[in-house]
Amino acid sequence: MMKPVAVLSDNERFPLIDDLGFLKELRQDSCAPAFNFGSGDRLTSEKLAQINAYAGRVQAQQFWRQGSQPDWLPDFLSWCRATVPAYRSHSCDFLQLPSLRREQIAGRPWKYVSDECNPDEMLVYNTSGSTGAPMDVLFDAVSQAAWIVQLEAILAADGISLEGGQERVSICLVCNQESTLTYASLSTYLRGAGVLKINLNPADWRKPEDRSDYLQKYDPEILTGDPFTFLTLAEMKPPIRPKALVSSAMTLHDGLRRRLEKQFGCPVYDIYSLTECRMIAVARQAGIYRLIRPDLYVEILHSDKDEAMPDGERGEITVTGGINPFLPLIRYRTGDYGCLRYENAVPHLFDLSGRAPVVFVGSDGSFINNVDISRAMCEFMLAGFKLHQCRDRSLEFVGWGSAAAADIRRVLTHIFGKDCRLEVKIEAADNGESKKVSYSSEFTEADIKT
Amino acid sequence: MTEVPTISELIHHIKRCPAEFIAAPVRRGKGEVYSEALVNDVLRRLMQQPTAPGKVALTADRRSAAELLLIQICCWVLTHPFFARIDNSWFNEVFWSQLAAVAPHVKSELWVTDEQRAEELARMILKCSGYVPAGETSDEALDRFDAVNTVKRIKVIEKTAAAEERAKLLRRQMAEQRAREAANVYGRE
Repeated sequence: MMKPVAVLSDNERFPLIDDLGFLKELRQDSCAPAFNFGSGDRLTSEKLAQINAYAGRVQAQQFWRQGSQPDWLPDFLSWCRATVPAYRSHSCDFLQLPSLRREQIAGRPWKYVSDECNPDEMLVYNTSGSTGAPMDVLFDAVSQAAWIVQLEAILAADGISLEGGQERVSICLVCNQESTLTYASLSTYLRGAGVLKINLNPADWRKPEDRSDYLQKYDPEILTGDPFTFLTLAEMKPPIRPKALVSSAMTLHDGLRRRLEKQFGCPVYDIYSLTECRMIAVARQAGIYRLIRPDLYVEILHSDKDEAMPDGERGEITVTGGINPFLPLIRYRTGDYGCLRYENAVPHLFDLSGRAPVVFVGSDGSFINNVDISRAMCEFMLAGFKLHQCRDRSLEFVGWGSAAAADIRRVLTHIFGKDCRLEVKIEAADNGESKKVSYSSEFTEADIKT
Repeated sequence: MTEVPTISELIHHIKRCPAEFIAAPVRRGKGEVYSEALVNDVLRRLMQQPTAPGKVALTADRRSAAELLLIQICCWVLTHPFFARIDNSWFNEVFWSQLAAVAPHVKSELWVTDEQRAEELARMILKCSGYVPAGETSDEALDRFDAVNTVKRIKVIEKTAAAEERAKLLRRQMAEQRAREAANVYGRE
């Protein structure tokens, strides 16, 4: 896996923002963490116009009707056939088209890039593979910035808007990992507002109390993170007043949601999203996810054949469309399962599985984020692996592929601590199960020592 | 109704091409056959006007030897009695330009020795004349011409090469650090 390296100048990262004073302030603040990366939205005037146009479409577009396909689908399929190498031989009949799996894209991501794309505009993000093998996802500045537009649409439904503008931090992505890329950035779309990615691990800060002070000082409009990170944040009790918390990556249970809503005095959204297509749906209560993007057609397919399940029946969530010309999706199987039902003509996902939070506990009782494990496993030639933790904190690891058991043991000991008993097995990558990454644990959220 | 020959019959005819028709064309004063004179003779014969003035000016020096040789071979093909029975207005610039497109890609003698190239030539000439070979429907004839069409095959090869070049470019770009300086900016999926 190629590790990302910060190579651009700030002017290249923010071609339309002349005054970078706020960015410097965010980086040089006396409470700021030791940011280890740089990143920008790279929006030019042309790209900004495209994202503004997308924002207009998001407001105006309607969902497809139950039992029918979206109006935009025929044009999208024609465009894919005409410009995307992997789709050239596709027929016009959507229901006859083969589904697409993660492994197909991971093996040849360039086959899914439209001929209309300028390679110089390509951005690459390597997903660590919390539910599958690592994969390079290709996208561009517009599809990256579309995340904010999608967020705005969710907030607008509850009458919340992003203020943005210079001197204001609009979004803070909060992590709680052993290590991760952290940076201060700006959003051109939000008129120069600050965007932060921080890690609550005290090792990233001069003093542990700086975490709370820094958050208080810049008081982000929106905080994003996973449920475990929000739990840690809640324990820190930072005196901040966000407009909303946006939880993703794994299911947010109602108990934690209520606690967060009460403590921070704002709504908490649980977003169902994938790196491959960004946001899909949002939940304001556990288990019911409202679809938010009429530009992303969601079907429920049979797990073994490319047939749509009857309305309301459970199957694999499959998506078509999106706005990323570097990865237009046709019947992409997400690997997640659920059912689709319509409420007031808006499609909703129910019984979503595959995102259950998995609690791992280190030998000192601290919470271990499985992102750290996925990231560490990227260095091995494994097609997939399975990790289970028992109640006595012992670990059972099975890897498929080629890696020395001693090396795996060394990495897991580093993450979990010396006192966790560890059983490591490496097997040949030749069965159907070998492509998956799966985590399981006998611990629950109640067992975490924060 | 005009009786159209079968493709096999035309192939057989092409393969019987006399050596005189594939002798070196005269270009810049060197060679054995005056292609332009040959073409005009064939035209006079088709029009049944043996003393008519020459209608076609080939300006041989501006054409490649391969193209002139293919023109000469076509002259032989047109000696088949079928072509004397049909209108000859198709024997025009459009026809010549097709020959110019395909000639550089095929070794000249193959038109009369190789079964597939002879079939290609037979089908190309019949298509230009507006007739379908005996025993075939027009769709079948088009499909079969596509199957042996050198220009089409070259276009496919060029397209494949372009696709490979594009894939190489994208893969190179994927390895660029500039492209990789794109952390998942806003949220965890």
